[in-house]
Amino acid sequence: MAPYLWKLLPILLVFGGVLGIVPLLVFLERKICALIQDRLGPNRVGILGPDSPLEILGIKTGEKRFLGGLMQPLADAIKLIAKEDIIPPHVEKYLFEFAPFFALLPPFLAFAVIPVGAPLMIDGKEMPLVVADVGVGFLWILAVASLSAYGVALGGWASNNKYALLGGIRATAQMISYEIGLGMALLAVAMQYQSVEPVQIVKQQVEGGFLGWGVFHQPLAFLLFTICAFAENNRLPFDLPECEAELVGGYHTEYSSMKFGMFFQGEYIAMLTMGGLLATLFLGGWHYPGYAALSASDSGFVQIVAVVLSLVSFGIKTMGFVLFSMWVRWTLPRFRYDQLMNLGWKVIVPVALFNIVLTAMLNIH
Amino acid sequence: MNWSQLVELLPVGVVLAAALVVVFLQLVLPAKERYVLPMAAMAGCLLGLGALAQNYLSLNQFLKGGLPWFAALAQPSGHSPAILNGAFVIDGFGISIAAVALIAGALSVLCASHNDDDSALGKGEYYGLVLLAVAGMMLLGFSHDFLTLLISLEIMSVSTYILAGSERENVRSGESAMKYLVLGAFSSAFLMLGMAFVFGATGSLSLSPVFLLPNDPRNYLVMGGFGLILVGMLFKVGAVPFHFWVPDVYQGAPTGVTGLMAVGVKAAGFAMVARILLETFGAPVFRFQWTGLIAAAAVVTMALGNFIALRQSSVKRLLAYSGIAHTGYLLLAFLVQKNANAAMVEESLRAVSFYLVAYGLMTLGAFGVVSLTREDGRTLENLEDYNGLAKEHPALALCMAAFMLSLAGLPPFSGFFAKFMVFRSAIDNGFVLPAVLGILTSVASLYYYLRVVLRMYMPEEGSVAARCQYAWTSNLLIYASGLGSVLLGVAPHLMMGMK
Amino acid sequence: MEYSVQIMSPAAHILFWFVMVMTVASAALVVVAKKILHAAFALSICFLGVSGIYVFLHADFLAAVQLIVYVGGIIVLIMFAIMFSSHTQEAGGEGGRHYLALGAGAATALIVFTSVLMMVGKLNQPLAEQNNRAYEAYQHTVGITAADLAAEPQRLGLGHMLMGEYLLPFEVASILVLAALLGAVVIVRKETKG
Repeated sequence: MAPYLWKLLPILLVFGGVLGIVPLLVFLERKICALIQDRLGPNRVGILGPDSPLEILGIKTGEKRFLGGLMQPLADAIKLIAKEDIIPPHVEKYLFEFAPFFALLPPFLAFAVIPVGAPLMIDGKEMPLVVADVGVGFLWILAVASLSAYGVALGGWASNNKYALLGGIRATAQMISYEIGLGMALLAVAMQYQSVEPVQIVKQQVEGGFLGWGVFHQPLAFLLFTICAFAENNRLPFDLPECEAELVGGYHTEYSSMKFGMFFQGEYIAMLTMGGLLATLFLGGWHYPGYAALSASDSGFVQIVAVVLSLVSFGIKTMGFVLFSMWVRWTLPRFRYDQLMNLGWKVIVPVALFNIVLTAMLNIH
Repeated sequence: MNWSQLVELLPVGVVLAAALVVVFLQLVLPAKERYVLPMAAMAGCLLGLGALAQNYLSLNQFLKGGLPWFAALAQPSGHSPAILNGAFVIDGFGISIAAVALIAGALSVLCASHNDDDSALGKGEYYGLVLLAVAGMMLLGFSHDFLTLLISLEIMSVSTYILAGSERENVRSGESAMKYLVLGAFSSAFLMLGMAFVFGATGSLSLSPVFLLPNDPRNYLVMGGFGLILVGMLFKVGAVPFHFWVPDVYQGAPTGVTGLMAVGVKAAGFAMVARILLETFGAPVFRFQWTGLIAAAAVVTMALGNFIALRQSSVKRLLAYSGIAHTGYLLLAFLVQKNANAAMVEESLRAVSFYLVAYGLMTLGAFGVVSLTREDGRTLENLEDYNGLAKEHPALALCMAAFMLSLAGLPPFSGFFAKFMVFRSAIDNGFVLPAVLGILTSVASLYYYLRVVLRMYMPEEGSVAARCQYAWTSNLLIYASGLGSVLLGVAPHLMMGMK
Repeated sequence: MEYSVQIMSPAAHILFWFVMVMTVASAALVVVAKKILHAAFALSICFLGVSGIYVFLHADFLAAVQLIVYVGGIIVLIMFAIMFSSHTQEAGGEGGRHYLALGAGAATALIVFTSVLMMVGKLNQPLAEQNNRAYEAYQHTVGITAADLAAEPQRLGLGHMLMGEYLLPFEVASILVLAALLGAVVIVRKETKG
């Protein structure tokens, strides 16, 4: 196999994985919500619940009602694609059509610089499992993530609807405010590792073993990053741009069918991207205890196992963040808007500045 | 890089520190004790002046052959006035610009200190911004590198944009700030693009001379860049055809700020013009190309400024057009012939510097008087408001008359000598026609300056005498600048003799 | 150290022209757009294109900063401000476009463009030499080796420059930011009397 064909592997792995996992996340979100609210959640479309094919065939599965509805993601996808795509007459047509792309694309692109697994050895050369190992590193993520504000801003404005507009305004202000905190938290991380390239940062963490994980060196940055990641993704407790009680649906009120689906998908991919970045910078990336022993083995098979395990490890860490944010969503109440801004500018930014100074002082050689 | 050289920027540091102190004091002091703020700001300006003088004296003593008047003319054998990797130069010209900036800052502070009633702007921020603007002007006077030049220019400009709009209840003030901001940003863009062109051609950010062979293709780029820079610079100093912003901005801004703009910003702008024209593009091949342009701009500026000023009924607007006219006179001093030697260039620069100091003193004084003639918290700026000022406030009227006559360029005052030097420099360099035109427009300008004086001393029938608000601080400043104007007119060698 | 001339692959060529056309077209759209938000959006596309140009010039760091600051920050703020203004006010559009201003702008652009073209068209050999000299001088001042630069050319070089030779302008720029900050507070703050 030609070496450049190997480059396709991470591309397939990352983009295929991300796209494939999104419907599952929607399902998970609904199930977790149900668990927390002591309900069953979706349990109709599936192979295990009541009215399922198995039940009709006479096999009793009624007891496993909670696991019914496993096919729900598929049904959701078909529903979104097949629904009528309504473009209300009062909208700003071109921008209205354009906005969903800006919601979907940036988080996708951002994932490109995150290494998802241990490097492969190909023809004696190390190939990191990352789509694009660019020199600017996570600056790329910041740059691209900042584009996602366009999706909400344009969507809100083009809808020509006051709720959508309010949602768009809120989202823009919120994303800009928290981007600063996010960037400053990451600055401390860059100072700690003296690099902005995720591949290098993971390498350094791997060399340090379990205690080399970023969360032990930059606990404050970890905390700040987590908070800002929630706000950047417009997740509860920071979901004011689409808070149903005040704004109907926020910036995507007027959207239907797959255009709505794209906003929806964008949100989940953004969660995955933030989770991946969190894992990469603070949780050792794909690293897992025992990797050193496995990768040192002479056997090619064991080495492959080591790489596969690293993929699993990365997946678990990323999903950990995603599940955590779902848990938070269904547990915590929403902030008020002024509280949100106060937190962003009067708490996060000063603390992040303090963290930068602290990091600089601790790292004087 | 030799960081100990930072000491030579101490005057700027003092002003910056004062700015921070004033802003901080505004936060912690209760409203009753805020009268300390202008004192602190004044102290900053005076300390800055002191540091500047100390700097000047010690450098003069320390350097063999004295401090050079203009960095580009420094003899190679002497001590180089460039410090901090050439980012700044400390030379006589820069120091004189910094002094003018500090004096202008002091006026601005004093003007604001006596009218607490109608300014919505927090005093601390006002004084802080004035001091920041002054710091920017000083840095601009010293900067010797496109990067520092641009940053200092922006520090100055951003502060003055905000100061221009600081009377928030006044629509005029907002208009002034808006126009100044938009046009200022526009001209900065020209300047920046030009700098990018020059940098692209020479690969250097330094203001040191550009030398290219005549057949070098990079000449096109340099010429393009020079054209853009020239546009930007003429914008900043308010020369025709880029003068449109001046009257509206000067009229709308609070009077103290107008004084700061008319004197400080203009002086700093001319520092930039001097460095870029006479140093960066000072090589004969370039000089040959720009003298014609500058001569044309100077003549048009003088003519237009003076003739429009003839018809003004608002004193502030009149002073604005007079400011445009004076920009024209100042530009005359930059006309140096192709084969001028260092001594001739130095002579021209001394003329510029003397002109700036003299013009600064008389304009500051005039704006000081304008800021004092108030009624019910409203500035009286129309000509009628000056009816019979001499009866009500003889000393003030005398000073105002002195400023007006000095601006017109009549003999016992500094304005005469300033204009004389500028015209002589132009004639020495062979630019007789522009100089003669300058003298003619100067004679015409006598009309509108005398109108103000006549109003004060021979009021029209049935008009009401103006009443002034008494403020010893401003009065002091006005008397001081009046005295300075006379002193510099009678004994110009006090400044010109300085090496 | 010599500059290596890289021949672009056909695909890169296509991408290059795509970016160029996109940049210029969106810049033109900024000028002629009738709705102000369309102009702002076109400006963001234009800045995206500029960032693409930086990538083609091997200035990756600058490209990322361009995206973060201009596309993701400033234009979003502009849009934010526009969204507070009313839809109806701009719908009519008063007086049509200013053809004179458009013409003047186009003429200026043409002049600038021609002057650059004349310069570049003559020969770019001296420029390359000049660049090499500047590069060497810079290496000399910064005191790092070519190997260092090859490892991390962009950020390292920029960082060394900003923290070394250009530290003073860099610090002075903070005064500029202070002035702007102070001004923003002054303008936005509620009226306080006494």
